[in-house]
Amino acid sequence: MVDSSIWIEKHRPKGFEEIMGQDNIVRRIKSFVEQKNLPHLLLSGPPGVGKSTIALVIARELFGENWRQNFLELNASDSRGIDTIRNEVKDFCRTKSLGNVPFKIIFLDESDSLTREAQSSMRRIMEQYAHNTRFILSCNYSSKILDPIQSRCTIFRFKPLEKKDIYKIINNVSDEEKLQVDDKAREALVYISNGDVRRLENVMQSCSMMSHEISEELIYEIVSAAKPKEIKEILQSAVNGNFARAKDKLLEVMLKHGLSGLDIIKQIQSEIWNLELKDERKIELIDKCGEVEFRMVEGSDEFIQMESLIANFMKK
Amino acid sequence: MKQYTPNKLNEIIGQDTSKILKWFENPKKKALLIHGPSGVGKTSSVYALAKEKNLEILELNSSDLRNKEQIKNVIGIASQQQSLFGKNKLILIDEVDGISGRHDYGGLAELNKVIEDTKHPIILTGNEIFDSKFSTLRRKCELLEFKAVDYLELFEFLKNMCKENNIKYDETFLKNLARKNNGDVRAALLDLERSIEENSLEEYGDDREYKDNIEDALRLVFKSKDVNILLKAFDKVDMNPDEILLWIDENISREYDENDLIKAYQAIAKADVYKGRITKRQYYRFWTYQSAMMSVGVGLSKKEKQKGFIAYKRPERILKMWIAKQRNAKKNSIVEKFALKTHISKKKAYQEFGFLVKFLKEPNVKLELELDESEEEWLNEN
Repeated sequence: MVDSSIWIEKHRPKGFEEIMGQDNIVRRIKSFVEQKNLPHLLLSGPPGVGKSTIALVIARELFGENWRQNFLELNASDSRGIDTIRNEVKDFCRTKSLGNVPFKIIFLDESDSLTREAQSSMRRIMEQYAHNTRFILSCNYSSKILDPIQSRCTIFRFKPLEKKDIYKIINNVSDEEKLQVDDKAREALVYISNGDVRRLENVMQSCSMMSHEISEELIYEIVSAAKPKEIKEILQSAVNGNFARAKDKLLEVMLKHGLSGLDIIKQIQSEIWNLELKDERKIELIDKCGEVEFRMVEGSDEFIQMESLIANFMKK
Repeated sequence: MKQYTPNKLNEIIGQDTSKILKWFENPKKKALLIHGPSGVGKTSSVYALAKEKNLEILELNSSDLRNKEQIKNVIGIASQQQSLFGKNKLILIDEVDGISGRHDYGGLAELNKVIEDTKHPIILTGNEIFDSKFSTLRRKCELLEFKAVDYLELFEFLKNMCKENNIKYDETFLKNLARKNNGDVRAALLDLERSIEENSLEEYGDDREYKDNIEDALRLVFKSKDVNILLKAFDKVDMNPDEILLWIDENISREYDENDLIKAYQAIAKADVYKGRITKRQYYRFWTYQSAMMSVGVGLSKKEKQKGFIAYKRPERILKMWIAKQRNAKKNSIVEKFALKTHISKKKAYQEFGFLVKFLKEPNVKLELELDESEEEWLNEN
């Protein structure tokens, strides 16, 4: 197979031994695979720590060349309704597995974004087809997975990668891609990636388009270009009492960059500390952020909630 | 309700009519343009002035043809002649904004000419006179704005009207009626008249109410602080709650500011939370709470009532979202291809897009993602 030109694919571990920083989990899952006996798995943890990678490695190790025929990958946040579960999942379950493994695998990525109904319809399917199908669910927050589903799965909690592992990955990638990364740049990469290898490799690849000598400045340039600068403007307009402008700008940013309320609120929250306000006001606003973020997670209208948050910045 | 037509300028409620007198006695310009919403006394005050000063009125209103010829022949000539009965003349061009560009071709230009040459005072009235086609006219006239009449003043007026005519009335009813009509005295009088005919001064159920449009309902909510009014504000609006919420959201910052706005947004956001709970639990009783937050919650957020008429706008968010979607269609398809190749969701790919966009332009990557020409084009532009 030709290597991918996209680094997050190219450098994705192909076997268990290449997976970094999740030793316990790898050891246990490896023994399941060796016995060709796999329970349903629930892989929980922050993004970019190896959940999808492990699912793919399991498939390759179990099914070899034909892994794609026995492996259905669904991304729950793109197809999160009950119809997906009923149709695609059931259709796949109904056919027998090919090869010498008695079951097939369904990998439901980001399954915490499945609706409750979709999750409930899954519990039945998980039992009904237990003889020929295993589920691997991945999620960021296991609290969003219904209890009955959790109880049917063996749960693995992934940790963010430690610094030393990130450093190792930086070394590997820069060796293979013939990049010069100095110490300060390494530190910056560790900081930027925040334990997320996908983010790390995307940033590295973007940097490599500019130069093969990666400096701290280049990294921050790439990263700040990736973040909309308008957030600060929005908050400043609101603080100055110009709500209409803040509101228009907010809508514009969300639409132009295709960002969700949740994407934006993260930036607002970190921007609050940089505003020229009394500290008491700042913590009040942080509290408001938390409430609004909670509401959006619960399914409220992100525009209205965000606007109500922005309005609070006007308070004198 | 012809019999309630005011005979004197000071019988006109809610407007500073002394300014009309001042203009009449000491005009800086030959024409006066009175503008403002309907039913607040623009035409009535012209007739009152005529009665007070014993003037003969020559009127041209929107029921007449008002093209170039007509204005020249009727007004143009009259503006040069003395009156037949020895009275002084007053020329009234009613509803000047109703002069049609097509059917009344050349009318406005002729009107401008007439004003220049006239020997008699001219008063013009109109609702919307800030269109650019009236710019010359506005320059040639003294401008006088009539505002929507405050509902309390209107209420007092209706009350007196009832007293004078020995009509029994219910205060709350009259108050609602006054508020309902948004400062439109004529409409309020018509409503009152009709209720008297139907003998139903306690019950409020006339046709005007069925015509409740969203703007009227919004105005109630933004202007009132009376819980009974607020609670029912959106009842007769033929629109689903989500859409009403969009309307509130679009327009509230035109009426409220500072702390009022903060509080109102708290209420709106809470209404939205209840809306979410309805969807999630399919428990429709939450609607009661959503509705209360949208109407009473928003209404009581203001410290003081704002006077003045503000035009509302149709919500633009949905349209803007649609336009953005069209514009982002290419980005979307690129994101989708990338997501599929790298085992991530579209959503995540979207979030990471800023980190990707640099290397997506790399030839090998483009090839691997099988980007088509239009997608490549999009990448090069962004």
